[in-house]
Amino acid sequence: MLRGLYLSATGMVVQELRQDVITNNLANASTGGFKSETATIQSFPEMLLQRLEKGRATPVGCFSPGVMVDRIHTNYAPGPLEETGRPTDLALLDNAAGTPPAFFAVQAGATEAYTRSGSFQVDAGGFLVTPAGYPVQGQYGAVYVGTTNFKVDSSGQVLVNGQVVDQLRIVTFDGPTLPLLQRQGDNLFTAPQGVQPLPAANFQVRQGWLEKANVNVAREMVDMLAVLRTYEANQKAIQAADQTLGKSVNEVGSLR
Amino acid sequence: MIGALWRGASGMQAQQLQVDSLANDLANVNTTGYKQGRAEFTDLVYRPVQEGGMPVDRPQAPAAAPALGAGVKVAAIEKDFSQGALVSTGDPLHLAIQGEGFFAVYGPGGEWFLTRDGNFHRDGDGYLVNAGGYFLEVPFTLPAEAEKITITGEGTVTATINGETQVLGEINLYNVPNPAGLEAVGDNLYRETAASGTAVAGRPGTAGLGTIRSGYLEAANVDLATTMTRMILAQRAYELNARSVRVADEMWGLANNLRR
Repeated sequence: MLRGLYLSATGMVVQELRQDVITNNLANASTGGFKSETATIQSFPEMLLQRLEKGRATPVGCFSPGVMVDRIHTNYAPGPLEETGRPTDLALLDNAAGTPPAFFAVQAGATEAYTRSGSFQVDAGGFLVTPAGYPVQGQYGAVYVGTTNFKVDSSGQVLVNGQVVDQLRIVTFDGPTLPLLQRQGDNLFTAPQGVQPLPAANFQVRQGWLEKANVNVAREMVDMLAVLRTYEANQKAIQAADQTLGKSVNEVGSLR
Repeated sequence: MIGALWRGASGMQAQQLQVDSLANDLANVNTTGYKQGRAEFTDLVYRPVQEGGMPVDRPQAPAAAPALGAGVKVAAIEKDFSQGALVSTGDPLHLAIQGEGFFAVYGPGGEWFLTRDGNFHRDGDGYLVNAGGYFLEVPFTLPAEAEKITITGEGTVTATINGETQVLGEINLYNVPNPAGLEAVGDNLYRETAASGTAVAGRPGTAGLGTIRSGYLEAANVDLATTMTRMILAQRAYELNARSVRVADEMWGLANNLRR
């Protein structure tokens, strides 16, 4: 019976975490290049219960002590594109469906970070930077675009006054290493130690376009309702367990 | 759960800023040389999930600890310096820039600003001044007897003085490496900052600078349809976040009512 209490409590904790993930998705529904997340849930490893009877242990059956959040899974599906007409806005288009997404590489302090949000600016020195001021990387480090109009062609080549000056560093990750990417805020992902990005092949750069968040609002709302009701159900289960416990503590053996 | 409340609140706050920015764009839809803003959103930091009170023998160590995001913020409201429509006024001293660049103007106190608002006129002493009385940075004055003033696309100012056509001088345009870094100070003026870089003068039509169109004013580049669409989106996003705050509150209520 106490187990039942704890079991339902793990259920409430997990639904709370799911709600945290959903609210983060909804809060970022307008964030450029944002990739939505889903918390996946799994039950704790089952254990075999045994009963002691006449000095002998006989198996009762399997029992799971509750649920927990397994992973927070990132959905890397492309978001819709919006035309802005601004030369510093770049969007990445993944050519083949099902291939791992391509990312712009930016230098965030000492580490290299990756982003899908192509809303860049030209800084005071003439370099292409993110809104947080991190320089966008080309083949030779930071990309210098100067003060004049620059062009980025679909393969990521940067042209200033019609001359190719650099090629954007656009990378991808192979299937198994993609889920290891960590989010850093500021629309950035970083790779953990030992995971190396690969040069991307199946992509197109669109200048003057922006990728929006890939949050599916209707889906998130439905999930949020499901979370609320599951949370409520677990609460009811705890109350029922508590009532049973109350009965056994206060009523069993009372003489009236 | 309290976390969900804050996340929802961060979303509401960000959308509120977006609506403020859009409302300012709408208010300035008839302001000469006004440039609309664009709110840039970024997600906030992520922290690893710590599941307190859970069994320690997890089935397998996860590849990366799941991390929860902390919401959203407005990273910047960037000015969109795209071209506004040119409106013909017929006054040769009304100037518009077709393409990139800014006029440089001096305030009465000697302070220096950049502007796209070319609503100039001649003051009593022959200086070219804008509506706020700021002087256009030119090395000449317009004599009172100057007639038939023409200003070419390259900024050359000629006038007929006592029946004789004279070149009075040239108007230069200025450009900065990062216009988005300029500080808007109101009155259609922008101030150079460390983020924008130093303004460089140039002849109109050269080095990426636009040309001057005399007899035109540049209208605000606010696109009403786009702005209204963004307003609708911002309102719905605000509602979404309000909804998630309400759900988080309901969940909190359920937890509070565990013990009746």
